[in-house]
Amino acid sequence: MRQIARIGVLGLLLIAAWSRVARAQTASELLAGGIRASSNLEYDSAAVLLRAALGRSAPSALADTARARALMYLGATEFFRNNRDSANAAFRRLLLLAPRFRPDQLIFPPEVSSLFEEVRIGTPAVAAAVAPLTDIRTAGDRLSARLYAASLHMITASIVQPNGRSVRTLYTGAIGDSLEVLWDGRDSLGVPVDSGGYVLRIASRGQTSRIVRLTEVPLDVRPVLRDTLPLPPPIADSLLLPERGAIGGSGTRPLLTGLGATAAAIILPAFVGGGHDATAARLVVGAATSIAGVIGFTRGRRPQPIPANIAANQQQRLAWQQRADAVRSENAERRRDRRLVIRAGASRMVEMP
Amino acid sequence: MKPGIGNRESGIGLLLALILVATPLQAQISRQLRFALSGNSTRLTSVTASGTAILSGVTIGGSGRIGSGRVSVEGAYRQGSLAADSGTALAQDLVEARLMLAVRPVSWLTVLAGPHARAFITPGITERWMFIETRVRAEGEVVSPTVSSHVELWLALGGSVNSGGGSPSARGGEAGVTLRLPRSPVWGRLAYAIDRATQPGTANVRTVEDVRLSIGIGR
Repeated sequence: MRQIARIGVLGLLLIAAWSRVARAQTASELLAGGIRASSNLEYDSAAVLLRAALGRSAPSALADTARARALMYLGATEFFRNNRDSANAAFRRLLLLAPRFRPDQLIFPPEVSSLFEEVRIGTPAVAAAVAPLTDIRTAGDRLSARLYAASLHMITASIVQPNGRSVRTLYTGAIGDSLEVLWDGRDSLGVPVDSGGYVLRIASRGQTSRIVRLTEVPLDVRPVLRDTLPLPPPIADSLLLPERGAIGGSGTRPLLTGLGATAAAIILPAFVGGGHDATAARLVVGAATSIAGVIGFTRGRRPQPIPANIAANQQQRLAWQQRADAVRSENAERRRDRRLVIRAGASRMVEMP
Repeated sequence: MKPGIGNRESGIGLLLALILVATPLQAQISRQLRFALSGNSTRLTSVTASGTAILSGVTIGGSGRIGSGRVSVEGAYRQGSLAADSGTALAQDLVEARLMLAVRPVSWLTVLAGPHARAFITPGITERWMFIETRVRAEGEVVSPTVSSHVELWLALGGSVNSGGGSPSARGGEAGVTLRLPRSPVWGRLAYAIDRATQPGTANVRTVEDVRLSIGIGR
């Protein structure tokens, strides 16, 4: 009895000492130690070391690939320790971390692989791989999400707002090994979505069609509008020619010209001589020239249009209008050229109650 | 067939020749080609030894100008029948033609010189007056560029009359207003002209007055 107690205390002391030693080591060293112990059939020590390695938190936590390896060894170790539940739990954690993971048949015996398969079939889970940055420029561009399943099950892939409101359902159906879903940045009505945060949500359904697990990838959608061009500056007044100018000065010259012709019409008979009784019809001609002279006088006092300058200015205005129309057309084309930039965050898995 | 330069067929042929020659030359001699048709209300005061007769009527004619630069040639022709307004004078035909060489030293002044023939034709008698005359024409814009007016004065430097001989003296003038259609070579003119010719050694005096309406094309 005292022998048994002595051995028990020694064992506890050994484990405590071993744990203290383990805390002083890195996660990778602990992993390596755990794998070594498992290979040497020291399953108790292996379990301690592997759990210690998995228990390390950032910044010294294991990377995902090392973590998956640790979980695989832990599951096998617990299987050999006849802790089936613990083995199942380790394998489930492994499949949630890496749904595509498969044990190396050369390392692990068939019974371990069988248990792993049993757990895999009963664990509907999906891992999503989305490019960190997607630029949707043309009508054919899409955001591509590659989905990898742990086992065959039904999923629904959709785009939702952070508050859970559905924007668009991308896929509903079975997933066997992997599939790709595409999103063009539009909602279910075909309208481009507004700028903001969205979530690519993959809902995994169990055998009873109840959602058992969600895989979510946060998306940040930002429209990128092309800069528009400014309209050409309006034509400066200094570049335009004067369109009106006084012709003939004050109008006196046209008046005198008209009145001169009137006087000539009246006095021509006297110039010709002979005391001739001239026809009164010459007064009609004289009146016509007088009226023309008065009209010329009044018009001469008003600024008259300069046709050459008017035509030149019209050419300038027309050229400016053509440039402005070209800019407006280009800007309308740029506004239609709507780009979307989608940034994807790290995916996370949510267990449903 | 009526004799002399007053032959109507010859006059019409001269006018037609002007038109036929001027039209194909328009492309080569732009801005110096013009021709017009005119209608005149004509009044002839004829003083002879036997008294004074006043005749009036309508004469129809045409004119043309062709030139290059400052020099041009102008011609005119008209003819018509005049009937007596008073007195016992017989009705007579008036035929008139002239051909002038014109020089334009400045834009508003034109100096012309050349022969001018006029015939008064009654049955059996043709009285033909021939002048060598010089003219001066002043033109100016009144309402630019559509309305302009002109005054023209002429003086005979020499001449002849087939009846009675001698070198007649004559002078005359014209005043009028021209309207040009905007952006068109077409123009219209209203003018008053008067000239008086006296035959030396006789009492013969011929005074011709016209109120002329012309429609032309060209410059």
